Amino acid sequence: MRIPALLFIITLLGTGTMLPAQDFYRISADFSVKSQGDSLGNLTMGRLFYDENIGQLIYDIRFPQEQTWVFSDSSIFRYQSDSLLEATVGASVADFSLFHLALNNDLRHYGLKGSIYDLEGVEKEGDLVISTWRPPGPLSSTLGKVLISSKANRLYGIVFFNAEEEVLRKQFFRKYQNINGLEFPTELIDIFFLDEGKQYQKTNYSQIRVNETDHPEHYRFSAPQ
Amino acid sequence: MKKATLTLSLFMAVVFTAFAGNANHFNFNEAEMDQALQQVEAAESFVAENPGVSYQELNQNLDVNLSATPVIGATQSEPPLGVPSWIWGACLGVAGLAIVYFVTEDKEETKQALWGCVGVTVVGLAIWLITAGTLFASASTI
Repeated sequence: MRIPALLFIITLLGTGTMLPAQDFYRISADFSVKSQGDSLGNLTMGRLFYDENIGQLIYDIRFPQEQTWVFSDSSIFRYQSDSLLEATVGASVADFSLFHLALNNDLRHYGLKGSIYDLEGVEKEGDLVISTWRPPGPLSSTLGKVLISSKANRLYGIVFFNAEEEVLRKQFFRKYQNINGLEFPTELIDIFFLDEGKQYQKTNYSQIRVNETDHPEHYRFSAPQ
Repeated sequence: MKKATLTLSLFMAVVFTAFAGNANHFNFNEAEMDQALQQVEAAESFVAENPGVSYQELNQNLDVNLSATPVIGATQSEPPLGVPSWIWGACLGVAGLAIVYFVTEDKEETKQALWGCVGVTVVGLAIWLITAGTLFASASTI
């Protein structure tokens, strides 16, 4: 009896270790971006699509105007009614987006782990675990540190400083949802510390779908001919 | 064993104390934000309840002043940390591009960073080619 039991345990352990980690590769969500300037307010709503194998981050904007913005590996395109409004070549941003980081489980360090920034230290204060990241030595006189905090093992906030230790920008990642095993923040708060004062921006995500197999055409944008 | 534990505890205490005090940076005035975004939030609810409404109709109905231009990402246009974006690209390459995007999410700034990155790459390549050529020529004459 002991041998079958042992075999059963070994099989069980073996199966457990051989199970592949959940592979997330595709995400879509409704989004709304809200900010208020001195006189003009901004409200942008629509749905976004990202497939990391295709490498296009597509914003299908419905308000205030119907437009499609495509962030690809080397360019940003803005279309309206099949007409190209603007193309900016040379800005590879899709790989550094919130969506790419979340799909690749790199959100906790916001992609700074493995970057040129050095981890200076880690502290725990209350329910926050705060890591301090510094630019490399030669640049430390002109660049400031970056603080990243996590709460309950999830990215909570990022604070960008200048070299004079003044806060430039804060970001907060809140209201996480677990979508089929993927932890994703459904609210992103941005605070910009400008000369004219603080400016707030709030982005909300809803109707989030992960690894959606329906409508694969939404994840690949083909330029109108 | 006790000594080792004590030493480790002291070390951790010193490390944590050295970096203590950063938690206050992760606070913000939520009431202030709610007040600042009150009108835009109301506009969002209106659009959700009235699909297809235009921003002109919304401006009239809610007495708000919404921009006709979509905005995604940052609303500031300053280079990150006050450092010109091309320097980010030149000094930090792809990582510099990422930082420019993280901080500004501004296309023009990111483009400048790219040009810095490309410039340094071209100069580096030229130096490498000249050095390699010189070494090859020297080796050929030996």
